[in-house]
Amino acid sequence: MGKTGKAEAFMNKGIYISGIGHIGLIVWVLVGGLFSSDRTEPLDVAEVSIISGEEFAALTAPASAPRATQDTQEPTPPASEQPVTPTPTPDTTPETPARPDVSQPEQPDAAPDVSEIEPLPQAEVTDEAPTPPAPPTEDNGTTLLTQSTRPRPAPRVAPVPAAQPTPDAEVSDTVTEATVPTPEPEPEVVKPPVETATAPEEATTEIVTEAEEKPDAETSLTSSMRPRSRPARPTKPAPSTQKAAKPADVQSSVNDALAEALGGGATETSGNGSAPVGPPMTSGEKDALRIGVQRCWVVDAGSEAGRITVTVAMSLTEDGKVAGNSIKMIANSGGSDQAVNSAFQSARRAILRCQQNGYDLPKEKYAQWRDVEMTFNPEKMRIK
Amino acid sequence: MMLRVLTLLAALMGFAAVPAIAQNGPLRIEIDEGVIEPMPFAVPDFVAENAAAAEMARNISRVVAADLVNTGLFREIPKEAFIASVTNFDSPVQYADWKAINAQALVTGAVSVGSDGRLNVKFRLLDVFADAPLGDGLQFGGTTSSWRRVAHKVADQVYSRITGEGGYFDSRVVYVAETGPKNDRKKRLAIMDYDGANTQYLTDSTSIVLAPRFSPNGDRVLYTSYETGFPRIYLLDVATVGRRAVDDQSGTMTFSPRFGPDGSTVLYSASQGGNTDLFSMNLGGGQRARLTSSPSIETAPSYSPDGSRIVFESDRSGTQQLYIMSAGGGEPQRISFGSGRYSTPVWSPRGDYIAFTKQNKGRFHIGVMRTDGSEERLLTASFLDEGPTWSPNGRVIMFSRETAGAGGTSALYSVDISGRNLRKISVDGAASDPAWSPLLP
Repeated sequence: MGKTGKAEAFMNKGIYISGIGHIGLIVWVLVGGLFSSDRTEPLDVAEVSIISGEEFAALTAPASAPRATQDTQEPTPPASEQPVTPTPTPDTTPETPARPDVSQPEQPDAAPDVSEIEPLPQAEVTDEAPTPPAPPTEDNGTTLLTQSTRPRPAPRVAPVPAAQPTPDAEVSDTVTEATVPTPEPEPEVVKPPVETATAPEEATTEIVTEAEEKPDAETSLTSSMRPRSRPARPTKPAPSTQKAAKPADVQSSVNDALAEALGGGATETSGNGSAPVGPPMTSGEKDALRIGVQRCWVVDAGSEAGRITVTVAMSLTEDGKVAGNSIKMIANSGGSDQAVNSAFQSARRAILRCQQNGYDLPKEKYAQWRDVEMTFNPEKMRIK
Repeated sequence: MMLRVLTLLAALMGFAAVPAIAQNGPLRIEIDEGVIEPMPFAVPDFVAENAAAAEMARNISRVVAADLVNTGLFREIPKEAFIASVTNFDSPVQYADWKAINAQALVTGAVSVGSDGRLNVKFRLLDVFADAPLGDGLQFGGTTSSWRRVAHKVADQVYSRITGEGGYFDSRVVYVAETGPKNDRKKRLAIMDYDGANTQYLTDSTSIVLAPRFSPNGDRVLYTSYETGFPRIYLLDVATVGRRAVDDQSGTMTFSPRFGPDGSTVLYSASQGGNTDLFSMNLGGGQRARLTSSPSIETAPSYSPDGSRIVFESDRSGTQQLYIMSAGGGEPQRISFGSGRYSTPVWSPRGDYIAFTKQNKGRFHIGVMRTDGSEERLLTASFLDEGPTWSPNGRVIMFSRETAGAGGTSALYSVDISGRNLRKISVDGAASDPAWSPLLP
């Protein structure tokens, strides 16, 4: 950095010759410094390498423990301590590659993955977030189509089947030239003012939290995800209150109606007000619900119903029980009416039968699990 | 370049907005592992609405429970565990009492016998954990002598409402009843309820009979008899036990018959001059139509449920394998490619599977495969399993199993299409060659 700063200063003055001379001198000094440092450093380098190796071991286990075991290895022959020492060393080696992998490739990897995979979620998201301006709502419909048609034909249609994709690809070729310019400015105009500030930050924190969510603490999640998404809500009403009300109605009107009818939440908007939100649900808490239900889900693998995937929606009361008669089928993978109904009954029976005195869910996060959508997929249970 | 930047930007924004949805949207859980276990149910004795019906009410509820247990999909909760009783068919059910003993389904009923001997059975199926009935209450009428059929019909309704499939309890099975040692075995045709009750004999044991097959509505039976000294196909009316020969040509051996889905066509093998091929014939009186003309042996034909295709066995490749061709004939397509020999293919009434007998490495198996030959699964294995026949709903396969040795005998077994729930059918004496009827009207 110092070199470049000086070089720029000389360039501005225009004295090239003297600049070249100075650079030559600096290079010479540096070369000389390297030689001199090499002479002195060998001892330091050797020490640093040893320390770093121990530090890695110390990071995983208590710092003193691995060192002590290494020391004890040599003098104490007992077999009990020998197995102990190998375990920390392998632990350290896998961890060191893991961390650089996460930190370095994340940024380049994340961008292409997202662009390929998430065109559809984008469309859904844009509907909710950018709603404020009136014209964009109509345009969003067009953007949905154009965006969805664009990404789909290129990566997905080619590998999978032949019949449907080809017409889509042909249509998109003709339409794209005309429609593409229209959707592109819209995200620029609508989205950046509201979300550009949050987007990059959350994107980075998300990647980190998803990777570390399972093994590590929840602190990273709480600090990143919760606060960002909440302030995004209050900012919406500021531009236009009418449209802030709309998304709330669209998103959770059904759920709120169910909850209110059942005397559950009594929250008008999105549930931030009265129902406790708390930190995000951990995978362990979700697993507790999943396991709680699946041990009661009886699959008749030989029947047509045993090949149908159904998704049910329900509302839970604060003590973890199904609210009233709130279990509804919202999707199924198709089949005869009888078989679909049987698959739904089986799912409903599982939920009701295993709830006992309420599913074990954290009360402080009630807003997150008040409404549940549960998909029952018997694919793994099929007889083969 | 601009587009790429925009795409990246949009992607980042989309990524950033995901948690906002996750926060306010419903919690999404995917359940992809369940349990395979019988569903516990309770059938308290049906309420006898008059004194004459007391014993019948108890018997009917026992048959309903036995039908459900036979499927392997249900487990009956014994009466001793009940903490509530049903004394009035119309009084409301205390669901909590049945939840407490983990009864997921509850069948209540009432039986009355009129002075004219008419039997009337009402029932309700209750989904205990939903606190609600599953379907409407129904009632069946009949004569007191047909009480078992009435009970089977109740069980069929219960089974159908819970599983979403058709029932199969109110059905019959025609089979070959066997007596005597292996070297001098007497065989005659017999018919029974699917569960082995109400056995009746259709022929005497003066001649060997083989491979009976029901017509699509269960009123007639095709079978092969050796009464003239060589095999010949006969058509028998179940109600009158009257019979006549089919395709009565001298010098021709006919065997392995099976009805077409319309009930008027018969598909069979005929052997002439040492070569066996497939033929079809209209039972109303018509000429036989040749379907194959190959020097190899083609036999055991079976129609697809829609009557458009035929599956059969042939040794044209050197060993017995399964082939499918159009109902009118044409070039057959081989569908069995596993090791061993395949025989007696039968198309499922659901149309989704073909059941077969497989002989491999000295063992016999009953198996199923998709109609294109994929997903082959062997459901049984023994010294000798053969002759699969489908239940009316395509869910269960019945077959005959013979034990080894000179004293070996043959018996009927059933197995669920999943390979579970292998059961021996309780039949008087030895039995083989079962054929399942359709669901009775």
